[in-house]
Amino acid sequence: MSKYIMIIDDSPTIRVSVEMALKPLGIPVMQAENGQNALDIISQMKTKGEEIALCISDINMPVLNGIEFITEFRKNDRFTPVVVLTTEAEKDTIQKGKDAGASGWIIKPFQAEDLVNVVKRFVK
Amino acid sequence: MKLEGDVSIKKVKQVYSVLKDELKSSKDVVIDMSGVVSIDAAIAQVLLSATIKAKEMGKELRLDGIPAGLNNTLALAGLVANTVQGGHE
Amino acid sequence: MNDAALTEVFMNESKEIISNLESDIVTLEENRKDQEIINRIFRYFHTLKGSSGIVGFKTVYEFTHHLESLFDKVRSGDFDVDSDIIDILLESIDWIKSELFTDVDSDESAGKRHELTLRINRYTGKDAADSAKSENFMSEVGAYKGIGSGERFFRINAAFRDNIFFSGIDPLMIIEDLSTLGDVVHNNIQLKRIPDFFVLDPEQCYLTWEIIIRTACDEMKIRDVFLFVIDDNEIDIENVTDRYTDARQKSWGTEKKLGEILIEKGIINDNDLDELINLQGDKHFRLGDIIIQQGLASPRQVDEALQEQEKIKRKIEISTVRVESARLDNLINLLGEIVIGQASLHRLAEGMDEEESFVLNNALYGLDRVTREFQEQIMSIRMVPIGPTFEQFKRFVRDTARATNREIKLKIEGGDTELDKTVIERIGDPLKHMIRNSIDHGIEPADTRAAKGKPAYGTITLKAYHQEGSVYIDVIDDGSGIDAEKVRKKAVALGLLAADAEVSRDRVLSMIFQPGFSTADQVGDLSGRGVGMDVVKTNIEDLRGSVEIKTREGEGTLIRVKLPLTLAIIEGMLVSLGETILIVPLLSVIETIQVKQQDYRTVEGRGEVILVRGEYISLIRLDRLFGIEANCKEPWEGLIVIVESEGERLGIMIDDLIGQQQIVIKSIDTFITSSRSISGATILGDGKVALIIDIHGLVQEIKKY
Repeated sequence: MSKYIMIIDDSPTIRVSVEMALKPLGIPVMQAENGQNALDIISQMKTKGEEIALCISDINMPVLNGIEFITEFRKNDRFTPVVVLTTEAEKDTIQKGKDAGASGWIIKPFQAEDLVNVVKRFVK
Repeated sequence: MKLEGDVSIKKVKQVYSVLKDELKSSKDVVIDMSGVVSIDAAIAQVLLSATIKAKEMGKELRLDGIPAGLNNTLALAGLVANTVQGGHE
Repeated sequence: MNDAALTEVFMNESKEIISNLESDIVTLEENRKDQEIINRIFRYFHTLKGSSGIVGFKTVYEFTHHLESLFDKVRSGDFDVDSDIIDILLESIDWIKSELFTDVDSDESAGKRHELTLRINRYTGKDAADSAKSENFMSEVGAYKGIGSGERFFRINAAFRDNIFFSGIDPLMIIEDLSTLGDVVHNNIQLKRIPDFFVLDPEQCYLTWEIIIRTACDEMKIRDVFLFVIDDNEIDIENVTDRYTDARQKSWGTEKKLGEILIEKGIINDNDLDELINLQGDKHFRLGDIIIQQGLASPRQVDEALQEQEKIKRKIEISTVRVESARLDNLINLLGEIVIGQASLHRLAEGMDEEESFVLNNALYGLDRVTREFQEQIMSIRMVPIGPTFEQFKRFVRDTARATNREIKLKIEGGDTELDKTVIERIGDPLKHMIRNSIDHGIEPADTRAAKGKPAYGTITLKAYHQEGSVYIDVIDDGSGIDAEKVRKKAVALGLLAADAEVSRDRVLSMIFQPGFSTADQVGDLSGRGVGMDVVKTNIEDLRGSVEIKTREGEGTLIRVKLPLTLAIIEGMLVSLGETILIVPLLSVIETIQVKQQDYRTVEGRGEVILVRGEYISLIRLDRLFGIEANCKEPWEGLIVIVESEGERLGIMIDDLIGQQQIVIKSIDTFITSSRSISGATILGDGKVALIIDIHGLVQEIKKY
């Protein structure tokens, strides 16, 4: 069964930078533009027997935001870790994320090394 | 019984129920770990609790064929003898 | 992907965001309480801030942080949007644009940024100290590494909450993470917290660790391991170095210890270890991995390494793919080659007798269908909606209207109409110029409009739609229209028209597309400047399109641009002149006829003409124009292709008609010809190059004589 890390962010720059940062880990990265897009991709993947090892999700996104995504995601998946991407200014969202079922957080802007360190705490 | 791949909380209910049956029906329980890639705290805790139970029941629960890469994790989970040096105060 | 590629992704993203922002801000100005737009603008600044931070555009990051704060306040209703805010926003966007996309003078740019920041802070109520704090935030990031000097001992008590698994957190992984910071000298799991095996809930956590670790890291670094759990679990970290330093004098790192164990076991020797540590250099490599790489490990360890590799081999699979448009162009060129190959097969089939060719023709029929579909698919990838191009004019119209003291609304229709990417990229400037003209020469000032009984604000409509295999873009204004008589006088004055010329109104109006023409009595501030509607027309014709103008005095003007769906492939008619094969775009062809000798004559002032159903049509001899050899010397010997451009018909003399086929134009952008009559070239099935006649250019060329 293939494992993936999913990055959910409406900014392509963030998505690509996450993908680049995680390349050394050798775990393929999937990109989703918002929470709804992510849910769609995840349900598609399920039919193919593919597994998400970790979701990294932005909070402020159109269509379905990060908190809404985690809430929806947790309805079908109780244990897969979800890390929220947040900023210094919106640190209060960390608690909202945790309440919804998030596992950790990364503060933007981040260095590739910081990101890898966080991911390593959730994916073997 | 044999565990394989990434054994985690997602499979813990199955592992737990098989282990319960094994512990009730067999004398000694041998778990083949040779195909295990990783385990998490939930699995470790079930194995730990089963080991204690087996001892209580006068049986033995043994982890067999532990891959070298898993040794450190199992040691930290208290499932194999502490290989660390130094030790107790 | 490298940093440059990431920067490019960022640049494209910011262009898109800025374009959306400009459009939304203009809409916001009209609907100042529209919460949806306010939220969207907030999010755009938020996204721009995040992205610029990642890519390292520090000034943009800091500045967008202020804008984000400003809109956070607007969003929560702290104050209303007023024109001052709109101005701040637009000026801010200009600043971001110049900072990102142009070479800016750093002092000037910093000055402007400072000024804008102050204006923003007046709303957000931040004092200078606050701003400074947020500006320093970037430099703090990543500065902390947490590696201290000397050896420390920490005792960690970690009791995890029972529902922690439901947060996707694996406590064992945290403990493993901790163990990588040093040597675990003591590890004890409190067994009494774990319930009886037969009654435990396997999805609840009952684990409590007591760990003592020897490490070179400081307490911050240890705490960092527990970052995500320290708030809602019982985690105690205590520095117990004092109690342990006596017991241990020597400090050693994990890697060294691993090496020493291997030496003890006789797997490697001292020299090996030294070499391995040298090889290790970069901390990202674990010593164990290097040992395997060096072939010093047991087969078992090699097996594990292979398992690891298996994980890495999993390929990335994504639902959408971004490709450079150059690769798409390559694909089209390759498709061109396929079409050419197909054409040569068709020629082969023609040379066979009927029975032989039957099977081949059948196969070719199927291939043709697939190729056509393939082509449509590729073309559809190149198609992008014109909406964003239209949207970007909102800002332009607003600014221009303000500068000329007019009130103008921009209406957009058919934004989802799709055009070839190349066409979209090149239609922006001509459209801008047409809009500028409408504002400058069309829409009247509010009082004039009111006097005429029109609404005080003028309306410019941009409308796109598909019709008969072409795309039409209409630029419509409800301004004063164009005074045909004024145009006529001007044309006469400029020597473009004879004073007594009897020409249609349409013909007169088309004069405004002539170089150097401008109806404004004085050269306007906006249009003029040497760029006229002639440039618009040339630009559009370069796209193989055409432009026409309709106007009603006092009521308004419509400029209609007709564009081809794609630039890369045309339906062409292959014709021969002697040994030369030329291609006439089928779109321009009306019919192909044979003329009788009596229908040919020479007319004073028009040269050679033929009479077709009572209408005289000028005759073109391509052999003379291009200096090639033709077999038929007289019009009645060969065939005449009747073509039309700009309402004008021409008869082109040819020797023979070879057939029709799809023509893939080679290098449409780079093909340079000295003659306007040639628009490009293609390679035929037999490998010959055939030139494509540009009917438009041909008409222009003829008029010169």
